[in-house]
Amino acid sequence: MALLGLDLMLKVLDRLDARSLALCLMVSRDWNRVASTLVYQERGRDDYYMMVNDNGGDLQHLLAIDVERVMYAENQVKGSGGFHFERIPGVWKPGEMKWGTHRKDLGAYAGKPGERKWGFHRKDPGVWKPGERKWGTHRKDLGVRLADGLESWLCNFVSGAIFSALERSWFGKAHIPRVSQVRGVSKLVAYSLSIIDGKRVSV
Amino acid sequence: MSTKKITLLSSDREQFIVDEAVAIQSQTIKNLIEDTVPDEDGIPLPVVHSRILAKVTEYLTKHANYKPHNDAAKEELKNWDVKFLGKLDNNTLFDLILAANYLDIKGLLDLTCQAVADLMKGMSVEEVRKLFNIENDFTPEEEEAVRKENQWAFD
Repeated sequence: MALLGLDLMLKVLDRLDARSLALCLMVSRDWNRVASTLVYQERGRDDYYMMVNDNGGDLQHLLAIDVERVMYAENQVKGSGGFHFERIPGVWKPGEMKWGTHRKDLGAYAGKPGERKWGFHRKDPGVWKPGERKWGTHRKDLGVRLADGLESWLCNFVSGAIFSALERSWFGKAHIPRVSQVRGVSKLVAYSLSIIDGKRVSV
Repeated sequence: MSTKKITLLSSDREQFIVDEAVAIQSQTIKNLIEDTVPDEDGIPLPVVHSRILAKVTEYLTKHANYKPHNDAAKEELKNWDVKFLGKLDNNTLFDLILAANYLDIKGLLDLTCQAVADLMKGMSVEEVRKLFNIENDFTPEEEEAVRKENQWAFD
């Protein structure tokens, strides 16, 4: 996994036949985690669909699905009252998706459907406190301020996968293989992976 | 009529001069041309070594200059891709995937990912570990459990 990274390995594994993919389960724990998602897909085991709505429910679910990690995140942003996103009606341009939080200084941009651009932005530069970290994106105007600890949490889990979920929610449906039962995979990771996986079969 | 030339600068500061039409097949390079003022030495690509950039430009040059209009021409280009891949060792193949991803060249990324997948087909677990230089971090019990779960793949 270290050689190519998660996203590229998924691209490679996605091109394997079911048997070769199943053998990849045996390679290492990391490989097992990633290949499991695709194996379940290939073998069609108990897949199910979750309808996502148009008001951010999927991302809220995504963040809420791993309660422990969300609690941790909430602890890291004390006084914020938590960390969730919701869609802000009327704010974005047609075709774009922007998501806000109940924190007035944070928002997220998920780009147009299929654009695969995403990032966080601060709405008011004056809100940032000295010494706090800022997590940048490929867009110069986007970034997010994070407390210690939350940065790694967010970098790990609020990746392209989650924003793929946001993009996908534009289309109204996400496909989620039953990966939560795979050993060693947090539910959030499993969900993120399943979103990547699901991209192939819907939209 | 002269064609506009673009100079690409590899991580080891080797220059590659290519037609603009060749270079802009890379979305990353296209964005860099549009959004930034190039260095005097060329467009810096700090994560792509000259050894890999040479392969990338070889691929891009072929695909920019060869637009197949019929099945025979498509087949010829496909055969060229196969020969191109055939000249690569595994390390170069992996480096090309990373470069294609960084440079956002969809055709090259698809081609190289498929090549690695083809390489893996029919390999044993141990061979896959060797190919990717991966250490088996399963306990014997875990490994046995995973094997049992997926016995069908070993039959």
